[in-house]
Amino acid sequence: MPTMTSMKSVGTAAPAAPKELSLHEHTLEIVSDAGEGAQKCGQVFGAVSAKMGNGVWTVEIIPAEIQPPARVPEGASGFRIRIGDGPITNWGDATNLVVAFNEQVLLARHRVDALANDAVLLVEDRWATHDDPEIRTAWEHGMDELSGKDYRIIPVPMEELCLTLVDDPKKGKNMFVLGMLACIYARDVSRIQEQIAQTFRKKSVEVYERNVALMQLGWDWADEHIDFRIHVPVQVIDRELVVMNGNEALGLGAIASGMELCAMYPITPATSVSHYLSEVFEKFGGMVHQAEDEIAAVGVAIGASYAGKVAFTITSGPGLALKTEFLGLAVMTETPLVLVNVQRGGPSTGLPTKVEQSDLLAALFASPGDAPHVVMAPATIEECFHVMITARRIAEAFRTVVMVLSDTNLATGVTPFPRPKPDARWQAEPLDLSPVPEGQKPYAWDPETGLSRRVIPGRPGGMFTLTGLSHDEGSKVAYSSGIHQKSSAMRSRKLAVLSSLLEPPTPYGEEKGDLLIVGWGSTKGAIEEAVDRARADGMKVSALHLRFLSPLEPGLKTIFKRFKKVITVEINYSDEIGDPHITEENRRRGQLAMLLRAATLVDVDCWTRVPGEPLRPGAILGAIRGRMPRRGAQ
Amino acid sequence: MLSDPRLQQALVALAQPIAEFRAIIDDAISQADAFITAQHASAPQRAEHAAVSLGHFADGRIDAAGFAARFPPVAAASPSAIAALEQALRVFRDVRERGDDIFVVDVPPGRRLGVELDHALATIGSVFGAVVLAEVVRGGRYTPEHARLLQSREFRSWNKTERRFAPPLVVLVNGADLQSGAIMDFVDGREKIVLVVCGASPPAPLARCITPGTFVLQTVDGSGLDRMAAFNGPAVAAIVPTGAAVFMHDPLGGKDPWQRMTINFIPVTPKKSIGGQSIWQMSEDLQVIAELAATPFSIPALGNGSAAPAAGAADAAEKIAAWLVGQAGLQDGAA
Repeated sequence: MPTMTSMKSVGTAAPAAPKELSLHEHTLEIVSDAGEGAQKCGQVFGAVSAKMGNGVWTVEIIPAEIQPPARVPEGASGFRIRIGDGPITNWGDATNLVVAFNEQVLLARHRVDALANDAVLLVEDRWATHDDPEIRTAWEHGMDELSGKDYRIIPVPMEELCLTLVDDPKKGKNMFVLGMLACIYARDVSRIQEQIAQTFRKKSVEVYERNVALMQLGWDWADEHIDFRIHVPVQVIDRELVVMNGNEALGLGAIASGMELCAMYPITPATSVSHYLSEVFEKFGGMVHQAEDEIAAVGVAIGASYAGKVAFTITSGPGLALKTEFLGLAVMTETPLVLVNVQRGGPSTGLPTKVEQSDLLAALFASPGDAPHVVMAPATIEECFHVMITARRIAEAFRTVVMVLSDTNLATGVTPFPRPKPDARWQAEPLDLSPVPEGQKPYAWDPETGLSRRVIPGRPGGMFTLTGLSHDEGSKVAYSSGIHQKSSAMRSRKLAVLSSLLEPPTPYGEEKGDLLIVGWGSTKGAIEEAVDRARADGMKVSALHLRFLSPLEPGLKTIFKRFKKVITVEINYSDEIGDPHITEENRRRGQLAMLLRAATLVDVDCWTRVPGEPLRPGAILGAIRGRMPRRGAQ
Repeated sequence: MLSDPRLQQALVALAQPIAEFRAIIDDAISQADAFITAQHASAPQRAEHAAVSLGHFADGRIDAAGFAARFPPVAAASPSAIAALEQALRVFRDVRERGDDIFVVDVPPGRRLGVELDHALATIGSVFGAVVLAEVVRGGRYTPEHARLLQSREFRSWNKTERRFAPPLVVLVNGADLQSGAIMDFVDGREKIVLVVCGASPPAPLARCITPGTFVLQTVDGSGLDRMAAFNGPAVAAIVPTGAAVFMHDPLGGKDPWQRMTINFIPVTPKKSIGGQSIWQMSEDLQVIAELAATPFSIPALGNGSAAPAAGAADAAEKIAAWLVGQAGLQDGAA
């Protein structure tokens, strides 16, 4: 049975002079049982790194259950941070350094192949000598399993040391680890103290001081016992940056766009938007309404919008399913509405805390009947902010539903980006409350565009009956087939008008080549990094990332024809040729691939995975290599 | 009195609510200017407006000129409506140009405090009327009757929203003229009033301003003003001369009065009246704050015979602990 000393581990002897490793980037993880604060530790480390001038991308590692049992791999909760000397756009491939609060959560990361073969593992060592023989045995088995790789394991007496400062080490280890990492990565201590103060701003001074002391304890221990230091150069920050996750960016974007109401029902991973808004929205004249369920939430948003307020609703996949009937009402009544769907793994409750892009088709065809609406997808955390402004403007201009598709990767990832400079023109124009000209109808459709002027309740001369039934220009219930044909055409035509205003997208890389990778949403960074690596290897690969999915951005067919092969890369399920019973005819493809094939009649292939985590650029590169057209192929 | 350093101290403490009020004015100016400009905008100007209004997500993705042609930014307003909007703009700019002066009220000796406060708030409050007028014009609802929105409006006619965005005031006042009843009319929304008290002052002039949701502060050196400014509700503070009571009533302290009250100093009652305040009235004020700070626990006299005065949440726990120690016979090193 291997032991700590017989494995490729270090002791705790004081190093004479730590070895300095200067690297372009490094990826680290902190993993613990749920409730031990690994995420808070990671958030502080990530924020400080970003403020110091490193590129940063973070990913939360969240167990599927809210309160999983302790010391089981399935309960691993943590935080992964990739830092670099330039912009970091995704979570990268393998983790280089892990701090684990027990061996079981470490095994969880080992078993999903998250760790580099030569990763450094800093592990709480109290379990090796625990009173409970079962725990000692589990530890030994764990170490045995880990010994199959070239990991370097460093035991750390976290609990023993934390007990010198606190009675309950569960409430201190994370700050000890933060100090340890701060020493290894030479983080700015004053910034860490600021960030701790911000994190514990609602607690007492004593809590702040205790956490700073724990952090210092971790620093001192690492300074004395860790024989290496990691130097990832920082860039000079020449402009104001903000550091936030995608859900905070969505919330801030909602405020910047002049939204007045967020009507929602709690659902992972969308809820934190409303948590953030509930703290600040009121200061900007807005309010968060937590309805009794998803259906009521969208109903409230539609009602508020009908009355002239600027409203949005936010949900995730299962909530979207419940909202579909009301979406049809908003489309039919031409009531502006922004609906944000922060996607998670499905179907049903699925993977509440994990990323997936499986709601695309549900978003596009969300309502029974023909309910044309706009679907947009931000690709970065920064875009999560800006998309809300565009979505609000389009919803009002076109009197329609705009669905914004974000996902867990964007929602919980943290990265720095240039501080937006708010402009009053981002806000909604004042409502037209002037008397309605005599004879003007509530749906006075322009036959060319399907557009009509919105009539807000209360405008003199503007009284009409709002109905979800098929209706004519005057909102009178339709009793003739011709009216439904016409009104359907008018609602559909608005999307054609929007399409006519969209610019063709520009590929990342060359305008033509052997392979074009098409993506949408949060995969942009990983796809483009994979494309960069492939191009560095001489492959003629480009990427195209779509933001408008309904209507689709124009000119796609022309772009596709400049490449020998087109594939989508998505985080949703598709069948693989070669799997039992799967043929070209019955194969279910990635959702964007299905859409693009239908829209362009181009034979778009796909490479999709549903690993419950973001795609790794290395994996995408592998897919690129496997799908490159053979030389000479047309 | 305007050279009183405590005035600057109060203005600095109120910097955040002052900035918030100025932001309202700046936004209103920007929106009104944009509306007037858009009335005569050329096609490129309209395209530029559309590009901005669509946000950066649309950069390079939406044809802003095409969008502008399809969706004109504003409806045409009548000349009279534009003239009214320009008048509203003048109100905004007048208030803006007066700088910090607009937030300072100097009450001449002998004048009624309430009248001066009312006048000051009515003048600043004309901004709210101008905001409404601007919105009416921008919404296409303007009629000549709306012109009266620009008249000064007393605080009593301000609505809930206006009271939430009420401008803070720093008031220089003689202690003899400080009548708490005059202040209470303006304690609502998020109104913040800091009284800089000159000359002899009653010992607890703000005692009767204390209500469960009102932040009330008496300070000699300005400490506590930052908390007062940050409080999300109505607040009154007085920077009083040395010798007056020093206390803080923070509604966030707890449900019960003793949890909210912190008393740092209670003077003895003055031997003669100050201004209109009789000795009995001043004594009552001091009694009010002492009783509000009294803990609900009956703390008997300690072993050494000294009574444990009730003086607020800050030291209540210590007093209870001392009493328990005394009851258990553990004081003076007893095991």
